[in-house]
Amino acid sequence: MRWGKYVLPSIILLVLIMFIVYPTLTVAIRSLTSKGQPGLANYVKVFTEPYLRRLISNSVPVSIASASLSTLLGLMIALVVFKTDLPGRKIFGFAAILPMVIPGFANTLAYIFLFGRNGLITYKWLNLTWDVYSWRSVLILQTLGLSTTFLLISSVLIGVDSRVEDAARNLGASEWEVLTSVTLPLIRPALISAALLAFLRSMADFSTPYIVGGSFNTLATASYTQLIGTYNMEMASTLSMILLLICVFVFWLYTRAQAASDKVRTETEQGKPKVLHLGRLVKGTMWTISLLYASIIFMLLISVFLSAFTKHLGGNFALTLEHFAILPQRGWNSTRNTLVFATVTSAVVSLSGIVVAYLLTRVEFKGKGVLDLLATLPYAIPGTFMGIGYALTFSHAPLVMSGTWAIVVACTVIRELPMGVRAGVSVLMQQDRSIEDAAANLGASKLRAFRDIIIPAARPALVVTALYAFIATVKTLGAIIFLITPGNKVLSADVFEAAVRGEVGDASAFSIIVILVAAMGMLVIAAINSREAAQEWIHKTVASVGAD
Amino acid sequence: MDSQDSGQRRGRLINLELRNICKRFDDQEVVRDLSLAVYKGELCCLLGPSGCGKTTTLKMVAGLLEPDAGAVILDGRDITHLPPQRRNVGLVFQSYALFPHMNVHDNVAYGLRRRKLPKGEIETRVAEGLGLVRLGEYGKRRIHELSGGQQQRVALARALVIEPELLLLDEPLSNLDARLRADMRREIRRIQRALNITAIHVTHDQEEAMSIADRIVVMNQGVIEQIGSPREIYEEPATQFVADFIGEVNFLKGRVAGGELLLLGKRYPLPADRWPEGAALICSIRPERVRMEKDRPSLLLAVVSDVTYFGSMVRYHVAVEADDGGSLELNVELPSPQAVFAPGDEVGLDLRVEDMQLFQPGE
Repeated sequence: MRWGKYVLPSIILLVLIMFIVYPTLTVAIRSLTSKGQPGLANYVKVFTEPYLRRLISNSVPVSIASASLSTLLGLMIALVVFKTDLPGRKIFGFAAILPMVIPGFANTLAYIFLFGRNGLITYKWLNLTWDVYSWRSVLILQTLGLSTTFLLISSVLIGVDSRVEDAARNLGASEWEVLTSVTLPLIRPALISAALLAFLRSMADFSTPYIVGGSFNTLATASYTQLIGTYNMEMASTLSMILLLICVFVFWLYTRAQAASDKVRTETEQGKPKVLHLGRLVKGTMWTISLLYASIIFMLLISVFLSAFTKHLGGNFALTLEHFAILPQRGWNSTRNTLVFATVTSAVVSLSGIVVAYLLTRVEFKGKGVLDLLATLPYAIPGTFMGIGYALTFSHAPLVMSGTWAIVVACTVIRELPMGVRAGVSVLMQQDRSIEDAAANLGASKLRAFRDIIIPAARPALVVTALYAFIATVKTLGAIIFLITPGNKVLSADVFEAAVRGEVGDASAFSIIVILVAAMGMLVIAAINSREAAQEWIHKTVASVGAD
Repeated sequence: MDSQDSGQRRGRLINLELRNICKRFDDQEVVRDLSLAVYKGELCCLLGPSGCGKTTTLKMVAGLLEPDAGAVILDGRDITHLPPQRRNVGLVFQSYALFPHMNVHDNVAYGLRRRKLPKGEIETRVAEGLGLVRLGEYGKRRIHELSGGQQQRVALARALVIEPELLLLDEPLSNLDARLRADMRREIRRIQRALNITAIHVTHDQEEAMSIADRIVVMNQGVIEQIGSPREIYEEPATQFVADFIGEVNFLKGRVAGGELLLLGKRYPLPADRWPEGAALICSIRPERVRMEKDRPSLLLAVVSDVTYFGSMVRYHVAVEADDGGSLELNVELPSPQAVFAPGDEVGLDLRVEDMQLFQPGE
């Protein structure tokens, strides 16, 4: 009893304070210091200097636009996939999930091959010249990466009670009226939370604007250049703090919207999802747009492969493996590190997630509210903020971890922890407590009951958590780019560097390894528990995936 | 199977007619060649165990499912393939299926707005509808603020204000507790009579069907077993299934021998030569129709094995010797004042053939 009530919560709280609160405070203090003097000078500078002020007026409108567009597009595809019987809908659904597995920077590269200055489509075929390096490309790419939006909307759309739609039909509503007066209002909270999540993702996105934004800078990219380029830690901290405050505020809105959207769900046999027989024009439009989306996604994927295996995409299509030669030169370490980091992260996140979830749902102790907050907060913290925080905090006493693998794993574990906790909580909330009481009544200790009852019940959720944490770690860039040294290099950083240097072939080769590693992890973990995991994957956890 | 009407309603106007309806899901025939006429102003119950096809039948009337074969005729118009939107048939869902994002008023107004009625008329009719179900003051309430019974009333009002040609009720009371169920039952009946609206009520609860219906349609495995008034269904079950499904019953095995019924070693006169000589018969008899007396050696001998006191009546389990020498249990119910038997008592059972229904096995 003591153990669960005092010791365990204290240890976990200490760890979270160490790895969340402490780095955050470090960044906050740095942002409030200017040339050794405490004060608001840095913030004043941000709001007075035109270059810095533009960062906010760049980031926010583009994020609002990409959030709205990806929500609209995600909704449209979700409607086609789950609310029509149109051909190709399964492929569209698959295409919409793909960006989740493909690292954002791989997509960005492929986008440049296809639509860039010498792009296969824009230049070679259509003979257009346009400046690909601008906010437009950022907006397009962030909109295309609508996987989480699509899944969040889909999971609620599937949950809409078809009997309520039938009631509307019975009362004389046309199919279009059923959609607009019943289905859409019912999933409105989910649409709002999907849009807020997309906004968070876009605000925190570092690689897309960095690679394809050109002169378009955002808070996330500027804090990177401030730190890595000009080594201005104070300004980097200030920009990150502003980004953090915006994200935490939006995240707070998100949690409120999320609470409202949980009310829609019904999962009875009778209320299972039913097709809407919308008019030809509506269906045709939605289908065409979905087809266009899927085509672009598949083209992007194919062009990553093409550019990795050809001499020079667009110029010389001769097949070659020369880009992969970089792997033995530099890559094996990165590949090994990526695999190790991702495996450790997924194991730690799924196990600690269920333990924290157990404490939150089954044990009464002081500081529970704080634990709950700390276990959720990393959702809202942009990757670059975490990276800067860790780089500043763990380079000196009391805890020095710079350049070690531990700093990378600590960062990825903390970033994925909320997802593990959330999945665990949802399992434990549904789990009938009388089963544990029965085990206790039959003489099982708390630990025994946890092992015998909680863990088996949570198994599908654990698998999904592990799966997601694995892929997220393989893909992650914004957070760990600040923590990478030659000793703890990972694949995503290699792609990023190659892409920045303009070595697109090499970058593509790395991207393919990243995609393969992500896909492999997915297969391995899914094979352990394939069906349950697949179902969970779509229905639950994916709906609560955090910002990247 | 007796799908012909009992006769007393002949000459009345037919409101809804189902002709040879068939429906299958995957490999399962849910409704098989079902034909039924529902008359204007009556309340007709579809009664049967779960999976008997009653809700499927209702959904085909509402247009939420399309029959594989057969026709649905509403007021002489073939609506078999008409989409649900254009049927003007009111449906009350088992789950109520209220719109959770609208308040009570907007739920009730929904169908009227779809019909593009003038605003003033919508308001009048919503007020009337809410008044009818005694929820006049509840227009502004949110759905989740209402009790189950109140939600039920909103669902009823919502289905009624569109002035449907037919009211369909799909297990409307199954989510309510016992006392509320009895109240709502009377309420539904009151409103149905007041509006003189034709209603089809689907239920698996025989007590509910008996208490509310003008006519009961007993269904089993996708076919109609019997159509009749509650009294006919109970007193004169047409099939063994109906006898078993409605109320308590004892089934005894007998045989036709020499033009008489041979049952548990006793002979009983058979009414007509309806049964072939030597045929095996199943005799059903209600527990309250079994007469039980002490010290009557001429009667069928039985021993009381269990006595349960129910207040208004007492139920006895009695054992008789079966044909094969084993023991057979019978249910007997007697009104309370006569409860003078104790376990172990030897009694005589007076079974009368006029109290029995006779079936051939497999019928």
